[in-house]
Amino acid sequence: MPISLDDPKKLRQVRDQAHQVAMNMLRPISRTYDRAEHAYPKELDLLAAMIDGLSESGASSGAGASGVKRDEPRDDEGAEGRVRNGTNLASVMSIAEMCWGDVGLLLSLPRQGLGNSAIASVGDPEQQERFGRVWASMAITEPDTGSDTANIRTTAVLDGDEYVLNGEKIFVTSGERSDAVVEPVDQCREHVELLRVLVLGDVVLAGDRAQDLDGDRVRLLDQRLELLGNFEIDRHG
Amino acid sequence: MSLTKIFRPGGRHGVASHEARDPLGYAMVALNKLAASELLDRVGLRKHAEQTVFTLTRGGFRTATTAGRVFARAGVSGRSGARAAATPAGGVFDLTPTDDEQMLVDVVTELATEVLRPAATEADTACAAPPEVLSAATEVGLPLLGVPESLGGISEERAVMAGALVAEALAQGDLGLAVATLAPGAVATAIATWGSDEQQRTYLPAFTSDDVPAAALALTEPRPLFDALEPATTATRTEDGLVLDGVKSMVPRGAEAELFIVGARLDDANVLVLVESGADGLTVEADPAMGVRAASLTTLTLTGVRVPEDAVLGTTDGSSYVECVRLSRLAWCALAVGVGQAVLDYVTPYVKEREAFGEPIAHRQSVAFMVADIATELQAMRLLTWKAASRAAAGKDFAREVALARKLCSDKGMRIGLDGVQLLGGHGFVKEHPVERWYRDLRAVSVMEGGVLV
Repeated sequence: MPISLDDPKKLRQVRDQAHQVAMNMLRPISRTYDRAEHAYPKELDLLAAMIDGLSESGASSGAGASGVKRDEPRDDEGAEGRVRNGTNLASVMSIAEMCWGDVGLLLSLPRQGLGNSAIASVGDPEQQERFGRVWASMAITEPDTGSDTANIRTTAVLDGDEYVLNGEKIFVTSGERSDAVVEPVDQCREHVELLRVLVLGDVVLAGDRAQDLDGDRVRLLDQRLELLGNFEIDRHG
Repeated sequence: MSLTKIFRPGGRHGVASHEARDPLGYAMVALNKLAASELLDRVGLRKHAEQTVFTLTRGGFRTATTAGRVFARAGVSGRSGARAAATPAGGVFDLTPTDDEQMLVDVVTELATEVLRPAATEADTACAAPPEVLSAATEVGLPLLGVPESLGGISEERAVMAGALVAEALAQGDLGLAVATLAPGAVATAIATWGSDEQQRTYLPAFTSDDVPAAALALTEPRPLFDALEPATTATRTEDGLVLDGVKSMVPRGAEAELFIVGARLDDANVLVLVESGADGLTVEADPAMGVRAASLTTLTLTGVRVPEDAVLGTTDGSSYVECVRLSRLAWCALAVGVGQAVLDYVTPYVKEREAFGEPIAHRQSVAFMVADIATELQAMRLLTWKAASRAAAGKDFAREVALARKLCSDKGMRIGLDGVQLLGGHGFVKEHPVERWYRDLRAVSVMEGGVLV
């Protein structure tokens, strides 16, 4: 294959679809929800349903929060070479187009949370099955810890078969709206390791080691979700 | 308000007027109206509506995907004569050089490291490339890189990408020597790319022989606000051919060159003209510059130089000329990337080893950020250059891409040269380290036209 930095043929349709969605759905409501910061953008529910549909049809080329799972090299139709992790590029291209529409609304898309990406990338098959259709936020930032994610203070202490969580998280994107929160916490006092924990209602599922910690603070977001007190949780993994 | 105006998306919500809706877009508008509707909530139909949209989309877009996967072949346009074919488009995003390109890069990297770099300081002082460097470059086939196999060269396809990769690798050794060794190849590539059958048969055998002539592509002119697309050099038609008048500057190895390609204005369009060095009215004088000194830069003066009418290389409508300017700028971008890489590779270990105030200077954020910025901008320069080169190789329009690459490579190239000197402190100012030379060389990228070509 020759070097090429053009948008791949296979993904041009995805890019153009995202552009049309951004232009015709996000732009018209962009001002409205910028002003009504905490109002729920109900128009996005239909859009999310459409994205789920696209994703099921395969037309999205794997773009979206759940597409980040590292895949094996596969033979790509029409290409002689092997395409690796093409879904990452599909996601990048569609996110760029959607953000041309509105960044806050893109980050508020139901079931497209950063937590969904975490579940898709490091969750085991059972977890992916269980949480495939939930809307999962990612809670990283704490009142005293911003980008220095190695120093978060929220703890998960193993008690029997369960973890007990203590701590506080802020700037949780869609935290008020989502069904679940994925949250990196210290595993123990002598921590070195970050543990990724899935909080679903009051059920917590421990996942893998945390990677790719990131956070966003954009208008239109709910900014505080407290996890004070103990959450009794299932131990897993 | 007309109907078309109502349906057009532009002019509202910050959407540009040239935007158009496709069928999906119209569906989106309708969907948005539905989604915003209070009615859905009042009659309790919202969940139901979502399910419907999900099902319709899942079914509906399957057809669209299949239709979208039909590959339109971006083939070769109907060029006549001996021309290298465009590289077939792969259709996937790919940053890996082909095996052939990688092999070339490996060979040229070795040449840059073992031959060019050790000779650089002396060549810079002497304003001349040593013969052993030139012969080593000829040995690895640099002048033939842009010449197709059918004409005695080495490339099967239009080797723009390979040319860019080679220029980048070569400039990591030394920019002045890279320009000196690439200059004959620029002329050979131009003849292979735009030459008539006669021009190819007349001139190319010399470039494919053991005794490669010095030759130069002369486009730059010595005047304020010089615009490559507005050359003051003129070609005037007479009864027995063309008469050339004008001055070209920063012509690499002009004193020894046996063949020039000169940019000139003919009948209100720009053309490339082949001029042999023996022609009457042609004078050359040394024109040593701040940087790129090893390329023995010269000024070429043309006073009533007579050439036959068929000395025009390529079209007379200006299209070959503008393509030549772009491909030359592309080569300069690739050279800038190579020098930038040399700077980065030099300063990175230096700032970790150099100690001041009791610790390596890399521990200072002002130093670490500067190095990180060099690495960041360098990669942006490389990606823009590669994008332009890959599009040119595939026979696609690359005007925009090469303009972006040149803008970034000029600006950030100079910045990288400056910061390289700064990071070495007092050591940056003296000739003991190569960064001062790279600083001087990188200033050339924004002012040079011609000389090199991919």
